Amino acid sequence: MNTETNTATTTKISQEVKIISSTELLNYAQMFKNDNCRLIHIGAAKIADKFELTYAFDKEYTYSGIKVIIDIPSDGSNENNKIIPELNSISDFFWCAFLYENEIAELFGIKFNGLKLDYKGNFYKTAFKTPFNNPMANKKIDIIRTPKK
Amino acid sequence: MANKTIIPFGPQHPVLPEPIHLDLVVEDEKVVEAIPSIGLIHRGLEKLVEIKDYQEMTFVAERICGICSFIHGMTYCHAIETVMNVTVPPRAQYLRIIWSELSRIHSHLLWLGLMADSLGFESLFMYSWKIRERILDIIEETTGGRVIFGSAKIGGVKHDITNSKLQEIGKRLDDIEKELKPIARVFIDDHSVKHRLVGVGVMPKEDAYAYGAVGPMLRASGIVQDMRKLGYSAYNELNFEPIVETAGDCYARSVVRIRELTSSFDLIRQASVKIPEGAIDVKVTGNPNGEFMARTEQPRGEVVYYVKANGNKFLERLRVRTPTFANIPALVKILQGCDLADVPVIVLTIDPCISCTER
Repeated sequence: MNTETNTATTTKISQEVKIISSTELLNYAQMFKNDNCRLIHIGAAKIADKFELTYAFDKEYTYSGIKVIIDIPSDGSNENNKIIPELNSISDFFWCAFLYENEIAELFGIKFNGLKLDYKGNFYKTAFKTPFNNPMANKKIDIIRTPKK
Repeated sequence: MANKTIIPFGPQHPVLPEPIHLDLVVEDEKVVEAIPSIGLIHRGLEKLVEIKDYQEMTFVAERICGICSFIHGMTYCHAIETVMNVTVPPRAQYLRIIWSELSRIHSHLLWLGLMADSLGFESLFMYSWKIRERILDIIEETTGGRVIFGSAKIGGVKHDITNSKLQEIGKRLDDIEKELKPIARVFIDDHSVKHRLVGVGVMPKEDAYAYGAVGPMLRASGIVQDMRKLGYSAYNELNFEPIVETAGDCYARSVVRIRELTSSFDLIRQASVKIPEGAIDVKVTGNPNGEFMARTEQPRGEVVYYVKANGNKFLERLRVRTPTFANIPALVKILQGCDLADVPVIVLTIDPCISCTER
């Protein structure tokens, strides 16, 4: 069995993803719908103090991606005075988006306005509320990642 | 107008191998609406990227599903390799195809058995699984595992298959294919099977596309779309065409899967002939930095692995969109207006894999 060496290179983004503002989202969704694209998926990620939502579309094997970056409200840690980040739902144009948006709402705590089928927090059953954006869950992970002496 | 009644379907139901729940709103015997609920076995595997490094996540990815475990691992590796600009040796690419197609064959045979069982056709169910067992034997001989192959690796594969073994496997696959033909004929021609499947759960072409359906569900409605045509691994060097039917009903979805079995046997034969000599992996050092969305074709359809890395050994985000997740809106659509008695068969024809979906 031979083994060759291939050292990792620096940052590489192979698929073009256009960063847009949250106010432009519905216009882009309309544009993709008019262009007869298919919604592949919507994925969210919490990067530092921001949420990144990536919307992926496909037409005849060609990928198109847009990304919306929204701030996590600064006083989000105060449960009683929590500002919930909001975004427009694209389920008007792509009905199947309701699944992705419900998932993101429950895992990250983002509210989607105009969601066609809103499970109102009953889509997943998780040990922590919004586990991908929850200080309690992060604390547990920090404990696991801290090397034992 | 009849009164509406809500009937809970699942999560425990004889036709469901895994838990999914549907609230069926019925008027007399007709379903007017179906509301799906998942999350009963949600495992939060995506969250594990925060405590497992990007190399260890290969093992997690393989364990997302017990049927297409290898393709999960391979797709994750493909995503990381693209971010890290790793060139996988050609022999490893062909080996990935061989194991992917063996996975497809055993998954479709599993599904055919479950479908026969749901129709009450016990002998057909047993014959399908008897043949599947021989595919699992080949997988075990070449990887050491029957469920989790453990062959996927960032930079290649972990096991090689000698050329003499590939020839032997080729002969065994010829025998298996011959044995499969009469069983496939029963699925395609038998009156009782057709009676339960033809014209049931029809998904028009436009709806299949608009509702984001993938895999055999989409192709059975006349849309030519198979992610293997993207050319990942070495699929761009092999000759095959996506299997397409046009009726869009349960029967068409079954026929697509049966015809895909033949296509997979052919792809393994082609790969066994064309596979080049050489290394099966490359050493990968460093950490990934960047993002990529890998798409491959699982037995149930397109699977998506989105990875985002920042140069750390822990990924910032791993997102897995499985084919069953994508097919749920289409399932909701085809259940509207169907007979209550047809619900189990319709649910089964999307080949639901809830462990994938719940990841």
